[in-house]
Amino acid sequence: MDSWTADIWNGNEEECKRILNEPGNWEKVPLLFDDKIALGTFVRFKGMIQDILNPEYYSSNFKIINSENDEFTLCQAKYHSSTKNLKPGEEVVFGDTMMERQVFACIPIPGLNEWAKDVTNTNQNAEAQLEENINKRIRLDPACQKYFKEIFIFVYPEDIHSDELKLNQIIEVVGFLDRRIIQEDNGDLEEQSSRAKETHCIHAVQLKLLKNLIPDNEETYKSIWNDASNIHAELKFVLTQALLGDSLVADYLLFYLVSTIYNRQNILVPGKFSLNIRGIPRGIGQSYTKHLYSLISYLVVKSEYLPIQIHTMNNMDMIPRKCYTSNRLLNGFLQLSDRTHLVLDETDLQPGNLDNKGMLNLEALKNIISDQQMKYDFTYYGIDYETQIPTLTLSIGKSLLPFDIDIVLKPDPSCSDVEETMKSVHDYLKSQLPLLDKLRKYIAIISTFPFKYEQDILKVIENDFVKMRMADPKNVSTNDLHILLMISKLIALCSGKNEFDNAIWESGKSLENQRKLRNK
Amino acid sequence: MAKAGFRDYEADKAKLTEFLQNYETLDSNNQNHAKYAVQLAKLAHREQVSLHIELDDLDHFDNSLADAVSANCRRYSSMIADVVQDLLPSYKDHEPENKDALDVYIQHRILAQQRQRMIQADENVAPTNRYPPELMRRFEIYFKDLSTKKELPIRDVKANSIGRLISVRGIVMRSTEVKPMVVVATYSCDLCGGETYQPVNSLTFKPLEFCPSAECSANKPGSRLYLQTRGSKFIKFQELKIQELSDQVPIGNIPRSLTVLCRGEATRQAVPGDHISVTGIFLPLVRSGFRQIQQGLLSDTFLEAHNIECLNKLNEEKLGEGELSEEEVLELAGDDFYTKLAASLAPEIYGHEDVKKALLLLLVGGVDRAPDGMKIRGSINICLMGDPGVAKSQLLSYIERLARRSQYTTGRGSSGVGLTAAVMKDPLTNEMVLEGGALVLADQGVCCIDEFDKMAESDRTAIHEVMEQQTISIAKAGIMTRLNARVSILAAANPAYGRYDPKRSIEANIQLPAALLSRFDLLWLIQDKPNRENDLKLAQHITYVHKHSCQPPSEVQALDMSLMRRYIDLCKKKTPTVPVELTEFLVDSYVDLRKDSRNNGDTTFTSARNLLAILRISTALAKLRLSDLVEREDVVEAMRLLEMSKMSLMQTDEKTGRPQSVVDRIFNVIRELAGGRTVVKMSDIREYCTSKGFNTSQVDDCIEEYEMLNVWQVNQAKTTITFI
Repeated sequence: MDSWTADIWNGNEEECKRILNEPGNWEKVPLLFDDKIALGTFVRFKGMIQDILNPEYYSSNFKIINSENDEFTLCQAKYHSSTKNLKPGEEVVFGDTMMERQVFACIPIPGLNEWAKDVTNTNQNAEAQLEENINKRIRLDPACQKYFKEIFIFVYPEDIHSDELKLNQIIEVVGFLDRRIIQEDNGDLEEQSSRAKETHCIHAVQLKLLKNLIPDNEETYKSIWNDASNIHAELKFVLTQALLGDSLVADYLLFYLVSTIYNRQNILVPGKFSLNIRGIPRGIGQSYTKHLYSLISYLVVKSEYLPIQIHTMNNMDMIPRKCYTSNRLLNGFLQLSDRTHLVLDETDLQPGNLDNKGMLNLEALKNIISDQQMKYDFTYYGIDYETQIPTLTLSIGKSLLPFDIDIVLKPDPSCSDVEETMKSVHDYLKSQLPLLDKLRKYIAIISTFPFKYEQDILKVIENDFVKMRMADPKNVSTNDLHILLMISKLIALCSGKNEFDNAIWESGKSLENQRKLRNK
Repeated sequence: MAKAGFRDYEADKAKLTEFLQNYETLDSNNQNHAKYAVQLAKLAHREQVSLHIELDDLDHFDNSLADAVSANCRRYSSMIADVVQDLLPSYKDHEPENKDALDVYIQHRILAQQRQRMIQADENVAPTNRYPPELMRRFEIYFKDLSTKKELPIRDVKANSIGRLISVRGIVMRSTEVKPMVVVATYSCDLCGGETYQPVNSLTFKPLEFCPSAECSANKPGSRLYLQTRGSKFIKFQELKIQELSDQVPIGNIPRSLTVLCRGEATRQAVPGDHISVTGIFLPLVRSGFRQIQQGLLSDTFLEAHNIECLNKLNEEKLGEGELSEEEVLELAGDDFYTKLAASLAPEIYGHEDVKKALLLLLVGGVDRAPDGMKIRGSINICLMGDPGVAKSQLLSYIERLARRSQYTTGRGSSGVGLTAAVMKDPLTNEMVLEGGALVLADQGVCCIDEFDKMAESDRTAIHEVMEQQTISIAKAGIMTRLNARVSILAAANPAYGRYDPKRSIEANIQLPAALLSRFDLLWLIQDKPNRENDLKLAQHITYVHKHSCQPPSEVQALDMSLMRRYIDLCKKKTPTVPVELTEFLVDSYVDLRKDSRNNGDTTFTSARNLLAILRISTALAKLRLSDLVEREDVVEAMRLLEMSKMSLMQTDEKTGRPQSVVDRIFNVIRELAGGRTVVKMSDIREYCTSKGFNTSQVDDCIEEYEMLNVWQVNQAKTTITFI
């Protein structure tokens, strides 16, 4: 496979596909590291679709005619960006059949945490060895695992069903590395040629959509599921420590980490778990929230930290915007792939004035938190994109931003030294690498297991709700039922159960009661 | 691409000639009218520049030819140009006036050509020395697509559309200035003096260097060619970039764009921001020389514009998704379509049927009237009040999405412009410009104002004017003007004390002046009260959503948003009138209303505005039925809605107020209706009770119960009751 080129693939497509799809071979394709890899090499690339460009048309074949001896060679244009370098006296004649290919601009996955980058490297020995052969440098520096620039992926509709590809999805492609010249379109047709820019591109032959970045094998899933209640206990223990001994908040933080959206109906998004932890002790504000975030980023695959401050709100480009001069979608901070945990830190917010941009940014955040939707700016109109960005707001008082669930933090008086506590949590995790690995996988996949609802228990729930409304109509609303259902489902899944029963429903209710009691 | 090669082009040419000369349609006076022949004459006399050939006509004339033209449009376009060129002299009955330098040139050239022919019938003249046909033409040929053909989304314009005539719709993002583009470059040789012509088909061209005439090329004396700008032919040229409309973009995709090249008469038709519909030929961009090598295998594509229609200048209908189809009308029809439509509003929000009905009527609107210079608005204003967390904002945002023209804003106003308008300084020109706020932008639509109670004082005064006069007067920074704001206002307000206190008046609860509140046709208090039956239904609804990942199959299937929009568009076209015989009924109802409010110590306000509200709501109901006349039922339903809205405000806390059962309340209502009479008609009772917000089954229960108590007797046919 190392020596494959586009022409070999074009000639022996069936055979090549067969070899590529043999177990283990996919992973052997070298990942793209930097632009030192020779053009034409068969490579693999992981990234997020950041922009979808207009499709391109190319002539499916062309002839190179040698004017000296009138001989010609017929070439396939598929998987090529340009014709080969011509020898003197050679001329190109393009064919008439026009074919179409889709162009996706991909960037390295935003918010991908350091450890997740390592996993893809060290966990697969075969791959590591291969990498060694290609480029020694990579082994020395694990951070350079990723290709940092944006890269264009060409997708051929006859090979890959490209309709399914959407913005912000994470894809893994294998294909041939090439380069491409982009015309910086500056409006004047005549001046275009002076502004040509060169970037790398990959002509994809096969493509996978990645849901989460955990290796997708049954073995892992099974072992996590069977061990769920143990891992749950461990995780809760770690989080309780990190939350200065508050086990109730630890429960909610755990739900936040594992939650996934499992349904979507216009404005109703069951599974959405926007959490607000308030009552962060004033004195320990910023340093504590940063420590907490660093722990979260140590556990989840993708995360981002955003301090809510007048300055950041007014100056940050959060909303992706279409630039019509370059004809590209400009990346914004909030253009994130699904399940990128966003932590909003409000503890250092000072009074001040928000300008227009600040208001729009705030509006965008609110939209994500309450509807999991975001409007990208296309100047003449906005288009809503569905997001799945679980948000956690850390605040001292009541948050400025909306939330689904809020809870007050009550630190244990014995945990006085924040630095010390957080350090011990980190050290604990570092000393138990197999456990850490389990925790990470657990967080990534536990809420995606199938779940059953029995009609009987639903009847109980429905009647319970009516009773609750009768007892306290002012404080029980439909929203509470949504939250109760969601929390009960999470309680069940977290301990490795895939259906409702009375005990789970009761424990969900008691958890919510405790939270409400505390918030009073 | 269709294999056009199989067609006999000579035969097609003959057919096209016949078509242009002889095709006749009926004109507005039902007279046969040689549509194209007339235009040809005009072209011949330089009275018309562009000839639009409608494929509809061609299809009528010969349908296989029309298909061929649409599939291989570029070729037929130049074929028709040749045909027209050949035909023109025969339509010329007088010498046209020479309009500009090019006309003079053409005339001279024709004379020169004739002279040359006389001297020598020489076939050896190099092809470039002959006049290219483009040079001699002063007309332009454009096609108009079949009216039956649908506009393609830009997304569906693919490689297989190349060479075809297609229509697309989009929004203009960028446009270049209109520039002259050379079509035929004319050179003169400094040695032999002969003229050389070079037709240019692509965007760039390489100027000729050497004179190709027999004389010069034989002797090779190093003659040079000079470009003659006055002798060359130029055409207006403009490049547009259009982009898909937001509703054409599939979820999770980026809008696609398309380059449109406009020549001649197709230029200057649109500016950035316009919605346009373009018909044109989809073509690959021919590049030559170095650029092609550099570009590699790629080929840029563009649409050669033939016809550009600017949609925002036309009426809004064209922007819509088209008319309702036969099946859709069937889907809508049925006895319960009113309920069905209302239930389809925000289906994810459970319950609140009457509120939804009211919102539906707000979307449809009443009829504007202007008797004797007085202006009575037709648009319906609704204010939703209620405890926090009762889905007010969701209802608002749903209406905002559903309405064709709408603005969503909060009373606090998130932008500097606010609700009305602001005078801004243009950063480029330093001129003062008036920028419309939400109310102005929502003209002819709905303006949703959340947190209405928190509105700034200045906006509040402006809204008084908007809500009755439907205009905004502005006197700012030396600019005095009055802008139209024909909007329906849908407001949402939170109670002043966190929760609605029924013991206080509405004004006190919302902290808005009565003058403003009375301008709302309907005020609705949405309260969250425990109710066994409702709560159970609600719980079932929610558990279903969680269990099945879809909406529960309700009795009425929610209608599609686009279908709703189109139906509402249809309703808006109606202008029903109130028949004379109904006016009395209306007046009586109003008088009763006034009497009631006096007797009951009403917390709400009953004024002449309520009468107008009833009128508006009943006309909206008639519009919804697509009827031209308001009927008695419409008025009864309008009264019912008004009553329901009042009841929602008067609901007392069950713990404090003395509970009065529905049956008791109905009894009181019937007694009131009877007045002093002992015999009352059943139909009157039904109607009256409905207008008070009770349904028929409740009324029947009441009648039965009180019959048992021997309060009254019902006759055998159940048409009257008699008090004992």
